[in-house]
Amino acid sequence: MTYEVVLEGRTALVHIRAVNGGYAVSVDEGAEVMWSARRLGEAEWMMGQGGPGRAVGLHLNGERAELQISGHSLRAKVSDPRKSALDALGGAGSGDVVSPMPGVVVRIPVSQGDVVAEGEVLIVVEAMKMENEFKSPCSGVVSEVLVTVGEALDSGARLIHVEPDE
Amino acid sequence: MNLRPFRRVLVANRGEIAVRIIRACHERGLSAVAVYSEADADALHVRLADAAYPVGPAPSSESYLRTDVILAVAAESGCDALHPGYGFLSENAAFAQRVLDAGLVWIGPPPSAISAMGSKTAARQAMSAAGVPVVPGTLEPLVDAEEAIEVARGIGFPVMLKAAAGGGGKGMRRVDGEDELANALQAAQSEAIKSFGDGAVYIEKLVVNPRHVEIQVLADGHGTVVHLFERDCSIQRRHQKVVEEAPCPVLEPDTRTQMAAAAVRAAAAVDYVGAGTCEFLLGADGSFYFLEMNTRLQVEHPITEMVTGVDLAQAQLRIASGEPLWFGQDDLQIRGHAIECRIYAEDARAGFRPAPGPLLGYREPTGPWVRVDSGVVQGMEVPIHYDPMIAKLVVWGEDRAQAIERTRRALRHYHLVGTPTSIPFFLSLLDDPDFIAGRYDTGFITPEWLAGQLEPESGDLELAIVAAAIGAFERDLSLQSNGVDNGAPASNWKLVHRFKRLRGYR
Repeated sequence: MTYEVVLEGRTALVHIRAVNGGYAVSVDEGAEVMWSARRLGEAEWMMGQGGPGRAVGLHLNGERAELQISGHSLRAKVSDPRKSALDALGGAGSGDVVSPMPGVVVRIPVSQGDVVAEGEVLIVVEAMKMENEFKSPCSGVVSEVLVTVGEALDSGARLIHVEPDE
Repeated sequence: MNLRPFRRVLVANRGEIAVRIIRACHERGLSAVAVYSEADADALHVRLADAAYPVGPAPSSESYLRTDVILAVAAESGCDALHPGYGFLSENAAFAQRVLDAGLVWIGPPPSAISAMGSKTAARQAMSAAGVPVVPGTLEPLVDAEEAIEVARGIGFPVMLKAAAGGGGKGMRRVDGEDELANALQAAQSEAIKSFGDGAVYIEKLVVNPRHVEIQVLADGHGTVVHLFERDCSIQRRHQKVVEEAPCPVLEPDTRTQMAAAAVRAAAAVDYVGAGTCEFLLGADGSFYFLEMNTRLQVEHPITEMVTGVDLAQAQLRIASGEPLWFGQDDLQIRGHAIECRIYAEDARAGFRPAPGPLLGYREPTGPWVRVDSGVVQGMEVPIHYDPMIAKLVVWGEDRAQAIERTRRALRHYHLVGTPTSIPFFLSLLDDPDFIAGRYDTGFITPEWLAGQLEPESGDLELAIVAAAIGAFERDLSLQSNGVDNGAPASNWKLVHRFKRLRGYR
């Protein structure tokens, strides 16, 4: 199987074969290296190259992987590279404003049809008593407002779409 | 003061502090009743209490701050005492009075002491009169810009404008020169009205590069007031404490004695009863100024417990029941060193942005002299409605160096998957030569300091990439062996449906 892994801005193609209870792993078409992996419990694995490895926090939900390594919390996207290619063709909207966290919409200073500049505040979301402003990723026209003030949001919710200028 | 024994305590709070109080109650043979909002139905404090009552929807204004509902629960559940914890209703003098009027024991200072310390301007006046050094500035709210300019000239720039009703870093504004003052005053006043419903603003000299050092006190209502030494809370982000240690690594013994004596005078001046904290600014020259008194148990109280051996939550219960203090000042001493890290669900690399999420994997570190006060369990969602603190990691060592090493160890042993946390920030901080040398002040954590401090190592990133792929591979293999076709991650509902079809279920 081949997976496309996006982590910290880097995209890697990881090919994996099961071999003798271990894993032969090749990253970005490089040489195959043997890895061991053993699941210990809730979101906890022992993983490493060759030997018995070390503790890794890992939980997968669909394409989203939550990791903890050396105290760092990392989030990766793990997908089938064929599917990513299709998404790219479909043009997943570059003018989408998406909430990176769950929260509640407190203000929407723009409405549908407004002309906005790049960096203009489009929506304010409160999470844990902090107001977070989300800004327009591009200059253009607000074509969709998908949420209302007071609405509770899940992480990853699409909030607003800005149709970019030509 | 007479004995007021009680046997059942309503814990009017949530999270780790509710758990802390329930523990203290149970250790003293008292029963504890919890309250919870809809967001906290599964929380640890609910599970540990002898009874737990829902008090409303998630927003605290509709649940934990509903005084009528809280008092009704106290009556219905047969409680004869109430502990407010910190935050929420803990420093609400009117609520304290209502608790007393309802015939309950209020586990906190008298309402008059809360009021006396509640307004910063009133507190400054009272402290000044009691001979407690206060930051030079106005004792009354400012009337207009002309007055502000006159005062600022007298004490010298830079100055701070502060909301009288403020706290937690809100409603504060630095002013460096006369030309900025009028505009800044107007802005501070409107911010104060917006945030606190009270536009009163006062002016203070800005102590440059101060440390935040506070003294813990206990007063028993029989005339005895003792102090339990200091905590250094200078490591802050957004003007809020994130790391505290006791003792303060740079406090001279003489200064400690004077500061502690000032705190005891401050408590005595308002006829304080119970546990309280006097906060001071400590200048680089050893001068110190009273900032405010927190009339409640503090978040960071455990480090004082660690270095003095006194259980402050139990002390609150015993004092509230009318017991005279069972030790004197001479019985207290500082033993070793303690550090607290507040584990927040926030992304330090994104400017400490709150990042609530589910605790998909969660195991607290333990071992010798490692204490974790938390209100969560594995699988819980960190609610978005409250402070994003997950837990407090509190560590004791024979000396500061050992405490730092042990804190590092405990942080590395913290298994926490599902949300970014402040753990990488603490690991960087504990590696910083200035922190290790005790050289820091309240301005230590700057964006410049943060930049580049918190990046994961490249080997760890490499491991993460392969780990994520192996995890997906294992998941997809087991899906295939369950009869699901190759490829995309399927939803569990689809799986169940297909399984049923395969087996001929309807």
